[in-house]
Amino acid sequence: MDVKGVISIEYIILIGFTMGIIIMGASYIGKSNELNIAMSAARNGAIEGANVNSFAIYPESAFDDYMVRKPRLISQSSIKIIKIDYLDQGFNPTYKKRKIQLKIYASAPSVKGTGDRNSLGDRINFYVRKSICEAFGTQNQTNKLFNPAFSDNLLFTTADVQWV
Amino acid sequence: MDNIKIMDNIKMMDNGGALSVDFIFTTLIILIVIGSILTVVAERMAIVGETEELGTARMLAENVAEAINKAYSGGDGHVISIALPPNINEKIYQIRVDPSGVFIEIDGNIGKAYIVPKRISNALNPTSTEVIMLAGKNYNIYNVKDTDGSNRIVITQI
Repeated sequence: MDVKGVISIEYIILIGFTMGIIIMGASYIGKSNELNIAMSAARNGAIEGANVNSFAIYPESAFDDYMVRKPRLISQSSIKIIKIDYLDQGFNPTYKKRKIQLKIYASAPSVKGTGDRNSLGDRINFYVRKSICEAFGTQNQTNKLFNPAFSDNLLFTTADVQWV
Repeated sequence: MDNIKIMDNIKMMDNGGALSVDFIFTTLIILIVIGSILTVVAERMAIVGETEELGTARMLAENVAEAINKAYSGGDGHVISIALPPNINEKIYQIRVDPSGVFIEIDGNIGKAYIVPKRISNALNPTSTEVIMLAGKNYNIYNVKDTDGSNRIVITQI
């Protein structure tokens, strides 16, 4: 009995210690995983925005506007997402969450006009924020432009798209 | 002798415990990785569906525009038939043709393909300048010479 008792206590301590490590690890992994999911959603959104721009099939209001002011955008374009960076801007006291600013690098050699590129970039950023909100189910917490986008513990904004 | 048995027991339990912890930790990590991958895959699949819809709509508008341009460049009497699919990605759509181009409307979105001819009408109303082409219907695109000598594109449903 003594022998079993000694082994059992050792085993319990070992399990307890391991569980503590797992819980701490899970907490850390969970936070990292949240950012990973957000970045993955951001990439998906950027690709979706680039696709809409590339095929030049837009919502009616945007289409009518482009017909008058930006006819170049009515035709198809070749748009490629190069990379997506993020900048941790620290704790935001207004929203009580850590603020992450996303910056998308894209290439559109066939579109030269600054105004045209701004419109393409705004659409890419819109789909990035929308995708993040959809990934975390936080569409109801933000405005119709999904700006800022929220996850459970983070908030996301987008810088102007950098054209390379 | 007893001490040796005790040490053997301790070693066995240690080994068993170590294996279990490895297993739990590995399972935890695998579950997290699988969960992340599944999320990414589901999102990518949704994007593929949306991209397919946009791509198909764009191709269809370009095909109609190409048929109109070919009929126009073919000269008087040239006819091209075109069949429109019943839907795009299970969604209904509509094509509108006027002298400025071919417009495809699907799911609240609009795209435009450019055409050359500036005179477009349908057979029912030769004075009209706009033709609506419906999903799932077949159309003939004619090149007809007007009385003033210029060519007109007439689109009729078969």
